[in-house]
Amino acid sequence: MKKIFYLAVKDMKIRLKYKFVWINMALTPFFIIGPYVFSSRIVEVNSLAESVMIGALLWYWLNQYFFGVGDGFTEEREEGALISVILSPVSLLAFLLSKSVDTFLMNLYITFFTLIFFNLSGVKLEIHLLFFLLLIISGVYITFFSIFFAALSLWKKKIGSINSTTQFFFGILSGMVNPVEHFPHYIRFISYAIPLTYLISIGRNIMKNENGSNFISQLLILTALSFAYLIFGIWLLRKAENEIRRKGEWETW
Amino acid sequence: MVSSLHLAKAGFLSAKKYKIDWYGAFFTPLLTILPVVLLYYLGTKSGLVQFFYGATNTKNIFGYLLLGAAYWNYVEVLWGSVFTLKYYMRIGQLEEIFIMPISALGYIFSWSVLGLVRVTIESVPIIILAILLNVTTFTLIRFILAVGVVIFSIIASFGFVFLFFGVTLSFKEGDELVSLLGNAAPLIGGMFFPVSVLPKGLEYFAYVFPFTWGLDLSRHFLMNTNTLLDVKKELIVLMALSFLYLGLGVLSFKALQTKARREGMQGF
Repeated sequence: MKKIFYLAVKDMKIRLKYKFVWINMALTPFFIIGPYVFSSRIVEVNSLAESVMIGALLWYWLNQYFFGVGDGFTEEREEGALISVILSPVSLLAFLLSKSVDTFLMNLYITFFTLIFFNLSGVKLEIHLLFFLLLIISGVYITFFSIFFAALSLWKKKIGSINSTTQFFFGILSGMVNPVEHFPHYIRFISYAIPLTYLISIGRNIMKNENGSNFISQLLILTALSFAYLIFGIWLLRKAENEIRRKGEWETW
Repeated sequence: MVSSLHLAKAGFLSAKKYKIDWYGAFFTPLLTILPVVLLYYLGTKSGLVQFFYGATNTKNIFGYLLLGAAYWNYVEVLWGSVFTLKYYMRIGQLEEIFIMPISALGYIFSWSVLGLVRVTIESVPIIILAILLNVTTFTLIRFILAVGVVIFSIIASFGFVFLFFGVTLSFKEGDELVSLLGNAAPLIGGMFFPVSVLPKGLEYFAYVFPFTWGLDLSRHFLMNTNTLLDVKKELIVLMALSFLYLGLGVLSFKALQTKARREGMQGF
């Protein structure tokens, strides 16, 4: 735990050196989510804009975890620092978890500014304590979901564009803009295998002030699914690690 | 020129190593607009279609979005050269690259060639779909006019690249600026809907952006949509803004490059 904390602090200290990163992080999510939220506002139905905003916001959290954790090895690899990470007494999983902590803190920063900018643009979203708890849970579960991608990136070296494409697929299939109930049943089958689907659905239920019992079952399925992805991710990570050790490819990309 | 082409070839050879990275890029532009398409067709469809017809003179929302995505692909691709610059900074090869006898324009050109090829491949499905969906309003003359508008937009885009290049050399963080503007531009420039839908502050900002006018004109020529101003006036605004941004970009690049060389470019 201490190692994870130190590594996360290291990442944050590096980021503090670069001022433009903070400006970019504060503004970019508004512009990425904006087209979906403003499109839904065209029909002058505020509840639709709110619903899309919840979906898009949670999708953006996934987006950041897929870059932060899923693509977590790339920066160190390109800078030639990955070998130092490997030599240090930190497991690859702990290294990825430190990236997750760093991403979580950045996501809080991002969410704060995104909500302010949307509020100024007339789309108001009241954040309940339950929704804030959901964001924390989403951080943990989407980290679990991202680990298999980190293993793929370790193995295949450069899969940035696949990462971006996958994020969009997950967003669309999880009901980021349209509830999954609107999809044909064979697509819904895929949707229900993505943790984000449950997070978005729970998020929308919370904002509608629905009874907690409505989403307890979804939370249980989400937990089981996320742990299954964690086990699969760790297995794939070990496999990729062993393959790279066998080929001696830590310093190539 | 020959050195620039060699550098472009080096880019191709490196990219060939990572074929898997190409597959994902192929779908990205289409996927960017897909959530909005779904919102229109699976959501409260009639209200949106009515709105679009009133504001743009077209009910072909999918074609409208596709043309927007294809336009942005081409305009934005040059900006990718800034990410290449940052990449060389990160892997510690910037000094080696910069002692080669290549001008800044040569670097931008050689690093953009790969992007242009890539974006053309990526845009094939979008362009075919866009033409098919706009077949009733498509004529050769209008297509040539639209291509002319895209060329002027690319001139403006070069102005931005020069600025970003200079900022990256001088402050090392130009890629963040590109990322911010690259993400903001589709919303501000009207890729998804007419800029009149934007909050007022953003709408005014959209008008100083050359791409808002370029995209509006491209759609008008290919889809016969309404324009923000009279077509002739709009063409003058686009040309004036394109050359203004190019001039400002070149000037800022020269100043920032001089600053960077004086202070040293190593490190990031």
